[in-house]
Amino acid sequence: MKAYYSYWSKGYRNKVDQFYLDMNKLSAFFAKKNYGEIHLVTDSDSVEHFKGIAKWDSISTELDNLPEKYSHVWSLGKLLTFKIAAERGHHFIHIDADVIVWEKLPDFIDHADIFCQSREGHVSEWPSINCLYQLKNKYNILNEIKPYISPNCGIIGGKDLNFIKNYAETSIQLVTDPENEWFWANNVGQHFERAVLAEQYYLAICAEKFNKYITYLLLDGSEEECKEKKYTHLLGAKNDPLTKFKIKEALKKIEI
Amino acid sequence: MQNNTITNIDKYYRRSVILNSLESNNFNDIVEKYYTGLIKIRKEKTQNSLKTSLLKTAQDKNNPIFSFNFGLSLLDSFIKINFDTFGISILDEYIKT
Repeated sequence: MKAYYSYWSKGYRNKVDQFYLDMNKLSAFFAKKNYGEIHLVTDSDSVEHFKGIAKWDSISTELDNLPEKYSHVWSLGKLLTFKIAAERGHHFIHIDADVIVWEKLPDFIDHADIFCQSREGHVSEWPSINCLYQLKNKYNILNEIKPYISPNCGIIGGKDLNFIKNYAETSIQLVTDPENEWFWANNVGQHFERAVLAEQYYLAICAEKFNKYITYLLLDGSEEECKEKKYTHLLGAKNDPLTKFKIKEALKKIEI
Repeated sequence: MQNNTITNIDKYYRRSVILNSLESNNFNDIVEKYYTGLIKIRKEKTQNSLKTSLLKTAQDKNNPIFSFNFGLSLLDSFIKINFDTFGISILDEYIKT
């Protein structure tokens, strides 16, 4: 399995900062160690920042092609990266920069057609879900509103590249279709809702539509389970100043 | 932003065992309390989210219970994005070793 990272500078983080680079450096170090190949998909504005932080096997700036208008849907950067990885024919794992895969993940992840980090039920209660179903159903959206479990995509990947490509491609189209602008373009400043819908909730929709099974790394997401599976997703801890210190400390160890 | 965050967390968790006893309004205290309580509630919340996600996605926005659940859900999402973590203790252990 080949590891992928992405960074779209038009996304909500905007200009890349040192903390993000540090996180990504630590994460990429362990991905390289465990999976051998690491690939980066980013844009021209950011590429210079990332070049020196890891021994990348390839760097692409194809995220230049994404429309700035939808920068609040920052998951577009990830979605295009999934599509690129699938088109390259790579059995891949996309790892968020704030995720550390300390050791190679269990075999069932290697064997999965589609895998993600864990289930998230709360997304299915968002009011905007109702709007999503008013969009044109040419994008795999079924007529019936279903309370899907939204897969957390701290890690995502798998072997079913046709499905992953279709999901990523149609999600990007779903967001950027001018006919759907009323839904996707009116939420600027909101940092996660639309992005999570496009990436996570839409994945659940596609999986239902094509009868695909998503394998989850974490079942209850408890600290014990994460320890057992050697998996860290900083998520909200990114906002904790102490985390910046911890990442710096961890980097000292890998640099020795 | 920090004050809003505290208010939101406080509002949400005041009713729960996690922050019932928390008198401090200090941001770090609340976050610390949330982190330490997270492991305990993780299983329960996962089970609950599975249960609630199986509920019919109600469209009656005049239903007060439904609106209340929507509010909690959005707040839960906010907290998840801003405070939730997975396996943070591994990082701590790695630094110590």
